[in-house]
Amino acid sequence: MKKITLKLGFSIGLIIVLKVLYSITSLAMLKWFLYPMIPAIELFTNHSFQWIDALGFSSPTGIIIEKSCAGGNFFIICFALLCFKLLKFQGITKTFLHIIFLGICSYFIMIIANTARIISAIKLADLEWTHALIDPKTAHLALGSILYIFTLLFINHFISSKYVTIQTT
Amino acid sequence: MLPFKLHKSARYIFSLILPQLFLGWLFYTAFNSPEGNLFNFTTIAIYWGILILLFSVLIVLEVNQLSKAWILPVAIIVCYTIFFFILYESNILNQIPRIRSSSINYEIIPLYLTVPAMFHAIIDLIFKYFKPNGSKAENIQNFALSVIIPLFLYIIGTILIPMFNGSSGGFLRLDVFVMKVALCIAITTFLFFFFRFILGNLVGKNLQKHSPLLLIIFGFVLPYVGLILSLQFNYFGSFNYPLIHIAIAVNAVGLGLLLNKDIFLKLIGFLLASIGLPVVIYFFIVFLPYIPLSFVALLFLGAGLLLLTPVVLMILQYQIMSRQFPIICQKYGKKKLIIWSFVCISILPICFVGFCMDHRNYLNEVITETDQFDVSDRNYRDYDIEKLQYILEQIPKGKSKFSIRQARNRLPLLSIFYDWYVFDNLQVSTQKTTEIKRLFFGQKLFAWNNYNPPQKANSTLTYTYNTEYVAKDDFYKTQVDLSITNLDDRDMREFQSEFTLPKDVLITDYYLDIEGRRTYGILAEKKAANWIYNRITARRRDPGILQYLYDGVLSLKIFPFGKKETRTSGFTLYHRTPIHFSINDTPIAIEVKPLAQNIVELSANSFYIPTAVKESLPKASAPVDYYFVVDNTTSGAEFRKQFEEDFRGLSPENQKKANVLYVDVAVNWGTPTHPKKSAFNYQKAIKQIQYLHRDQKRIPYIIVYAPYKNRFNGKYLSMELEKAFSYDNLVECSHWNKKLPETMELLAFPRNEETYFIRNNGQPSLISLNETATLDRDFSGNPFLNALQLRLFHDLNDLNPKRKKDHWIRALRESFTQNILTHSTTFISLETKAQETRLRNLQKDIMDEDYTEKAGTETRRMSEPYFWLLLLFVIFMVRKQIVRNQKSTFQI
Repeated sequence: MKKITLKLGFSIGLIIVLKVLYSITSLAMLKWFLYPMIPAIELFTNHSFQWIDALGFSSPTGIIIEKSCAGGNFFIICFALLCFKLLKFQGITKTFLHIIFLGICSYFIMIIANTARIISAIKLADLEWTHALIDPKTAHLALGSILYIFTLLFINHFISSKYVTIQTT
Repeated sequence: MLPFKLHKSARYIFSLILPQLFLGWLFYTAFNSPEGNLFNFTTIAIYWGILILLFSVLIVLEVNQLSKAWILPVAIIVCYTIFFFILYESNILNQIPRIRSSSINYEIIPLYLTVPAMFHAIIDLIFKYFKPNGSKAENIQNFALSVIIPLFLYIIGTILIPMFNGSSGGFLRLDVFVMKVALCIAITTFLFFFFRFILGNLVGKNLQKHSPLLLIIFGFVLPYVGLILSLQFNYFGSFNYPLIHIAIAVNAVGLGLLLNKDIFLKLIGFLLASIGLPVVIYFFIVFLPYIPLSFVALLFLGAGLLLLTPVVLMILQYQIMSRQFPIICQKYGKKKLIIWSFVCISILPICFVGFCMDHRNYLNEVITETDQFDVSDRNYRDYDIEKLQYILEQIPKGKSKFSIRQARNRLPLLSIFYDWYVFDNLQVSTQKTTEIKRLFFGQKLFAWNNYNPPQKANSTLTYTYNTEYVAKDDFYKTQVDLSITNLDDRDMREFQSEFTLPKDVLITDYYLDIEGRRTYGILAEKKAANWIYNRITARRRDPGILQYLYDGVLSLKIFPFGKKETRTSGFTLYHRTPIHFSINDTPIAIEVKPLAQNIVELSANSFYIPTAVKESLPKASAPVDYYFVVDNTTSGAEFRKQFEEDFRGLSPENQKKANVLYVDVAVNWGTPTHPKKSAFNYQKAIKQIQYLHRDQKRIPYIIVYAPYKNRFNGKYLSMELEKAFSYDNLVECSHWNKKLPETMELLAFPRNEETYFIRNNGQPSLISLNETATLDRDFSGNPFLNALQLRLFHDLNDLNPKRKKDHWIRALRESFTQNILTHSTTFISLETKAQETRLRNLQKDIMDEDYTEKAGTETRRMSEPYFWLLLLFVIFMVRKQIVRNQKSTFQI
């Protein structure tokens, strides 16, 4: 029970600290955070993106990828979830390295999830018949939520089964 | 026992630590400004930090049972009472910028985020040491004590405490201090006994027995008394909405029916109570931080009971509904009942969201009608002025500072949602609301602006230029260097001048020399750049600004100039012919050998026709269409009369050919409606006609019947609107000679086996034969032609405000990319990096505001789903694991 409390406290603290840091980060600082997603998006959507200081990554067709779509929120949530589920708090050095490892994992998961979200959102917006049924902005948010939640569920399932195995053995 | 276990110590993390961290974050971010965060770490911040640390440690000790059980709750009550004293007597609440305190009530937020923790502490203390047994005698005793305490304090306060009165004044007086301490102790004791009374009743299950009586008092009588009193005294906000009155009655009836023995009636009652539940929860949340006030209010003929009513009603509702739920389930099934009650609970929130949605859509329609209308849509729209009046009344209320002492005449909390949802968190500018009021109510108002422009310098200007021929792309690149001298004996003067350039002369690389440094201008969004310029000139710093005013007219401003000071500035021009223009009455001549003059197809069906080519085009007679634009507002009665008279004088053939436009807020093509008390939408009528003739196959001839004072031009000056009618084909009725021309002489431009007409004005033309033409994706790589294409793009966008809105970001982005000045951007030279950062931040805000929410089809931001949604989901997953973990521990 004590460990759970420690994990919970650490995860909450992590969310607060990262969220505060993310809220004060400028767009320019996020350029390299966003950068790995761009080639995949360009490949799957046939849109080219160019960095403009005032806007972020922008395509000639009017698609903008900037702070609000950087995947920062997902990264924070994913990182906190992984820490809660997998951190064991055994020794300071080990824990520290473990946190860094989980941070890197979260970043890669975020890149995959966010790239998939942006690609599917662009593809969805291209289906003009859907605009009559649902407002494109709402559709975009709904699609993003579903995709993110499924990714989190998948991670949870994946690490929970491992967790259970470790516990029982 | 009670179904909830709020008194568990670890739960202080949720009731105390997290809300306090949120409170700290709220206060810290309240001081965000373009200059950075201005929060001052004063006594209150240090005290707050120490408390967070202290209670984190105490919670850990308590959870691990390393401290006495009473220490944590007692410390919370004492420390946070002192915290309130320091907070409300500090200056921090007055230092919060007004713009922040109009969206968040910083006076009440600390109560919302701290009072629940104090209640938690009191309940914790009661359960640990003073657990009620629920007997009738004990309950009466608790109630009597909670009522007697205020009276007791009143007596002490009027007789005993004045004895401490010293000679010194101010808030450091001993009697004031003693009174405050006594008040705190009394409030805590009162709440202690009151909670004990409530918990005693829950434990003893006495509420069930007395439910009908309590229901009538707390479910019906007291809520209505409270609502009636709130009509007179808006201390806590305005609750005078029919839906609230109905919901309270429905809720009371529902609860009454639930106490009935008949199961069907119980079901109806449960559903009715479900309808009323959101209102009960709403009042509970609204009045939660005011509960300590009920102590004082109890003295005023027991008015404190009104403040306690939401809490009691909430408990009553919970008790009755939770007890009747299993009984109804037995007959109707659990699933069915949950679904039905969920539907009933959703009714009021859906009504409210629907109300907000309706207002939001309506406001967007109104904004669109004001300056983003679609000229291609010629349907008349009759606007509901009363609804608009209600919406606009909410804006100043929302912008006023939140304060406990000065309650807004609005629904507490829900009005925050209304502002966020309807006004996009009050981002409707004063200028925009002024424009709306001007158009829809015919009010002549001026947006308040505290900017005092600096005094204009009496100056002389000399220039030099250096031309370079770009052989690869066949155009000239001329750098013009200006040397401007202030002739005044006064300093802090501003150089201002306007000059006109032809369409095929483009501007780039503006610079200003600041303290011997050449500072190249940043190409920025127009609104942001002008705001920054005004701010800087008010602070006497060094900016220079170059921008288009309209058409080919540019404005150059440089500030400041000292006594007899000379400053240097300049820009680069792209051109293919000699240029002659004048700045500050100084003629500037850039003499170059004209390059080959040919018609260039910029993109499909878009052409650049140089002046020399136009001179060789054949003249042709274009057919004319007639338009009578009539003011159909209450101010235009005389003009309508004159129109009818003039119209009768026309030949029957011309009467048949003529188009009559009856104009109020909207434009009614052909059918007169009842005159409205609004402005005459001159802008829309003119733009619609202009758009209809965009292909220039026929020429419009317009006669206007409207008073000047009632005209609405939007963002345009009259001359900007009229510039497209350079053949005297836009005539005021007073100047009309009652004759209609048959044809007009223009230049014929044959293309695609059709003849198009262009103006014979000695200026180059940029035309698009295809109305949907946008910027070509694959630019030619020639900077001159790309810039011309950008200019044509602006002209096309200017034809239709809707298109302008939809394509604005595109125009902006291309201007940034090509570093070419356009009508939506501005060159601004700034002195420091900090100014540049402020400009970029503001630019981002403006672009977010204008594109994200009200964006057209062109811009799409790939925004992430809401953070809180993901957080809730993760909390759900984590909770599952904790529960599973607890169960497994229990089983072992």
